[in-house]
Amino acid sequence: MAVVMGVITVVIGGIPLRKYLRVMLVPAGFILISCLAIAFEFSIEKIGILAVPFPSGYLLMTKETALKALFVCAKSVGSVSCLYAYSLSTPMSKIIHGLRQLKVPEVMISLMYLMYRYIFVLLETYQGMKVAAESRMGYAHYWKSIRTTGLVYRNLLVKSYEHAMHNFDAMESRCFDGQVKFLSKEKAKRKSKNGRCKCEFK
Amino acid sequence: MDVVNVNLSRNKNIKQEILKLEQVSFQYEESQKALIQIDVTFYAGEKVAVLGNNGAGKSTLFLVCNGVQQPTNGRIYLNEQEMGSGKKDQLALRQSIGLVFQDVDVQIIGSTVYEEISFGPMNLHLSKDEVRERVEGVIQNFDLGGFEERAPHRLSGGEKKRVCIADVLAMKPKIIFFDEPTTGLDPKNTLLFEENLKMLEKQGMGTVIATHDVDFAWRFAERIILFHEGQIVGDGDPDELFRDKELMKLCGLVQPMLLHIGEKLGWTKIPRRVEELDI
Repeated sequence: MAVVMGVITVVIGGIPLRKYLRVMLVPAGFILISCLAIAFEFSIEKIGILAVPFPSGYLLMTKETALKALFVCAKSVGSVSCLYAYSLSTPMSKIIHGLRQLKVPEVMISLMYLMYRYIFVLLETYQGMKVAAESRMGYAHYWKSIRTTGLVYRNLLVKSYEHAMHNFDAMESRCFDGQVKFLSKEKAKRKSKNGRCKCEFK
Repeated sequence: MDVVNVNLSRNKNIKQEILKLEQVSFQYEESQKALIQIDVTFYAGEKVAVLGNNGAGKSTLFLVCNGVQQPTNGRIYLNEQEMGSGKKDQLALRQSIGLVFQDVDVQIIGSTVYEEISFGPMNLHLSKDEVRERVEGVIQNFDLGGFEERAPHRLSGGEKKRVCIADVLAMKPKIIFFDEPTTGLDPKNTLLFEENLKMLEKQGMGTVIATHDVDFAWRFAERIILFHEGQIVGDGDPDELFRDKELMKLCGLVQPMLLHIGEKLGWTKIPRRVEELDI
């Protein structure tokens, strides 16, 4: 399934293979670690198909745990690839719009819109602060960088609150009434770029 | 100077009052007074610059005019009707008095330019067709064609500013207030912004701009308002107020370069733009 979704995303969706593999690498790391944790059990007796000596016992892999791990792994890679196929091919606004039509509660829809927009603002602010700290030797050695990271996060929190306050004012100034509503551009008029927008998954 | 007076008198004949503040005070916290007994009136189609040092109360004045902040004391009149603290009056103020914020990232919330511009009109509970018509009209008028599906975080500073103005225009306001619009823009984008202002002027839109740039105010404004510690200390003809050196000093401002040079050289008529210089 993962392979099929991968092929669909890359070939029909027009996402470059390198980019696709790079984004898949992140969840792949997590999945691998969790599957290893599922595959191995601890026991004092030496049984199963693989046994690694460990202080006061063995780390074991039995046929059952191996199968279970394989199953979980396949399931997660399959779902992640589906998720990527969807998110890489469809703009976030369309995804949220779709969820609204599926009658997902308005509060969640509003939150999703705001979160999506402010992730970028937050990232930009964070990058700015990080560079500013770096220029003052804030990451010169290990302990210093831990301290600086803490300070940057603290500032980021304060700044976020401030930004949220101003942002609420800005939303109110445009007659915001509690529901984040937008109008999307009509599909028929939309120009497709590299055929990416044409691709939809059911 | 003659040209300026002609402009002013022409506007006086057709002055239509849009927003009037009477004895308006505003306080953020107990100790700190942001606005003290403000009396000011804004008219249709006017080009006003609001000047004053940081923290003098310019941004607060704009938030009060726009109805986002409620004045602690005083009265606000929109189209000669007194505005209360009720929701309906608040919405009327927010719709009629457009406000473009200083920080574009504070204002922009949509994930595409099209959606972003639709936010205001959607909040006015218009029909979808009406919203679509307004959004597409603004996109066309404001030269934003081709940007519709772009994500705001991928736009340049000047482009974001243009989107922010389009946001407010789509709500069809009577006057637009700009809070330090050229801060953080490079000269090219600043010129672009001034082009946008010209477009608004052609449409007969009144603009009130808070700025620190006295040269810009000299070029643009037919009326200036000077702020100092939450009070209006000057309101009138730029030619008169900018010549008042004591007032400039009080507000932490300097004279516009052209006026300064003109005074030194004893010109009788001081041009508003370098291009108008006749040497």
